[in-house]
Amino acid sequence: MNQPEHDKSPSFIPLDIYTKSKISSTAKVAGTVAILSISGTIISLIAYITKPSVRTGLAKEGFDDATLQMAAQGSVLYIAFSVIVSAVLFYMLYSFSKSAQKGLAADDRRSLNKGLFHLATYFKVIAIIFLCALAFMFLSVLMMMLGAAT
Amino acid sequence: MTEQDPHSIFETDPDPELDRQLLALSRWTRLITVIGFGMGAFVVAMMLVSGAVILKSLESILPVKAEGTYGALIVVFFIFFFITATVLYFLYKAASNIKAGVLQKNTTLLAEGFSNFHRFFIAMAILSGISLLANISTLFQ
Repeated sequence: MNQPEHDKSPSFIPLDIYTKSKISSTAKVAGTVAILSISGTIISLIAYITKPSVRTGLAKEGFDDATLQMAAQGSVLYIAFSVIVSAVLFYMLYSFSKSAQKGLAADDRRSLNKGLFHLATYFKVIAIIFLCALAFMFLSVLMMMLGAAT
Repeated sequence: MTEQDPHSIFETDPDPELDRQLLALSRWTRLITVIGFGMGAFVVAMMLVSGAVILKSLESILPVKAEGTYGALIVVFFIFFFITATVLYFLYKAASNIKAGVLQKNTTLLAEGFSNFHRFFIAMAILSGISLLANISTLFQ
């Protein structure tokens, strides 16, 4: 069976100065994004722990105790999930930033490959979360349609 | 004659590992854009079918009641929609350019792909900065 030529031939991409500078600037901005996003998560976690109004937003609306308890449990789960996802995304993005910059500065291809692996994993995690959100959205619409039909 | 570093970026030996990482990066990025554009199409369809009802119900649950809230909601929706579309477009261009750069062994396309990633991360830095400021204001309220 004939394969396309690019599938068989090994790669030969000698990265030039221009490409190196683009990867380097991307890595620098990615490092800044990683620090900004983890800072936001830490501050929102502190606000959640120290501010009772953030935790019990439903109290003013006149909901009963059981509803408030369910909402609080849901809120705890949401915060825990957000912190875990943010920590994983921060690790991946920051590792990409550090490894890619180190690889480019020291002319070390292994570090660059490691950095690109972390960037690919960062987008993989986001894609999986997006897929879960899509599935949840689809199920919600399906349940609404079934509810409307009965 | 100087000896060449075996792991140098500028070496002329084939490097399937770099190809693999770049193609994986392109693949996952493209998946995100496909899902994002799909969700965008779904939202547009929902807004076309029952946009007025959705915005009216959003207006009624807002804590602040003021004249012109409905119009403000429409403006906010369009701003949010176009920012998301722009960010997804940067990702789509990055994925396409990197894949084409690897398959055609073209460093210019590869650089263009990373240039689009750079734009994407600048947009993310601005959004993360805004989110951080909002969280700080919540903390000191």
